[in-house]
Amino acid sequence: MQLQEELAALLREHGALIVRIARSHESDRGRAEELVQDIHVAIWQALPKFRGEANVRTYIARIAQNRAITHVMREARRPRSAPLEEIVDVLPSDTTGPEDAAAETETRRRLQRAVGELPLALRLTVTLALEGFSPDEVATVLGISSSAASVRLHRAKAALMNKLNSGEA
Amino acid sequence: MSTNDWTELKRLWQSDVPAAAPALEVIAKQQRRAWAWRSTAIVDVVATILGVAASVWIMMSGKPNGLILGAGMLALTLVAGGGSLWARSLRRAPAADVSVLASLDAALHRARVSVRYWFAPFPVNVGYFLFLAMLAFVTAFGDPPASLPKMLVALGGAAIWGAFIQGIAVVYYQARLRELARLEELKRALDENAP
Repeated sequence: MQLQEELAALLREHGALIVRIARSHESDRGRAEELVQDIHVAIWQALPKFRGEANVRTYIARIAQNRAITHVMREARRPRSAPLEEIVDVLPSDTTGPEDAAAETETRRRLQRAVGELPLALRLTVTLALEGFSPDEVATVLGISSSAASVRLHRAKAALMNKLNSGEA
Repeated sequence: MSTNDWTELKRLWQSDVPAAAPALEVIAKQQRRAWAWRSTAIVDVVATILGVAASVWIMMSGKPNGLILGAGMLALTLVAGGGSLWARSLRRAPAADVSVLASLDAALHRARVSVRYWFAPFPVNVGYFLFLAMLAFVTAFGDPPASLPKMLVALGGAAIWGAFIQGIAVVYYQARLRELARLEELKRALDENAP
């Protein structure tokens, strides 16, 4: 019971991060939810071994990205269905009018679509960067050196901006 | 890309705050599965012990062909028990919180072992079919036994069984090879020195 309470507390704080990571790898609503559940289970299984040495956010992002890769590998064999725009929630926005809110939602959809279309290696990197992880933290999650993480971050950001500016997404 | 652009993208990305309740039902199901998995392990151990005991009993029974039959059964029991233990060790997933590359390395290792596992029936079946052919020749060129029709049916059944196992092995072997290729491609893309 204590584990479930710990999990609930973690998800209250980092639940949105998990869903965003899941959605960056999976455009189908049902499968994205399955992936989120997979990540929850993986965190719950890993929690007893968590000693608190690592940053909790980095720890959760690592588990989420690992499960996402497993998911992507498994789903590569299955047919695709719903497009991304169907799973983007229409959320309350800081902007004032409904037109601004709609524009922001549309821009967010484009951003999520562009991220989802990046090659996996760049997608992993750019997702972490968009979540606010530093190059050192990205390196820790991916298991590469800080310099390699910086180079890949640069490439990932450039690829993302290129997609957004070219109107591909 | 200016810093402002990137800051705005980050703000936009993080402004999506979807909620997801803890997957407690899935976790409960996972707990039940873990218990079921442990209980099948107990069944495996008990079956192996019983198989070994029965084999030894047959070998020591003094019946005609008892030694050969018991030794064959003992070998089969040990191979099945060992195979089950090996398969369980393969199913053990690496820790969930290792780095992406470490997790990928573990997945690659499992995929390579899996490829070898599904390749194993190929040479084994070569030996198996040669053995069946030898039995057929010995039967054909020796004194025909009284139960020849039954023996032919048994040989035919054994050949069909071997072909069935081989067919399954071919399908799974190819699937595992494709999985391994995908993982290796991903590893190249994520590797430290990836272009």
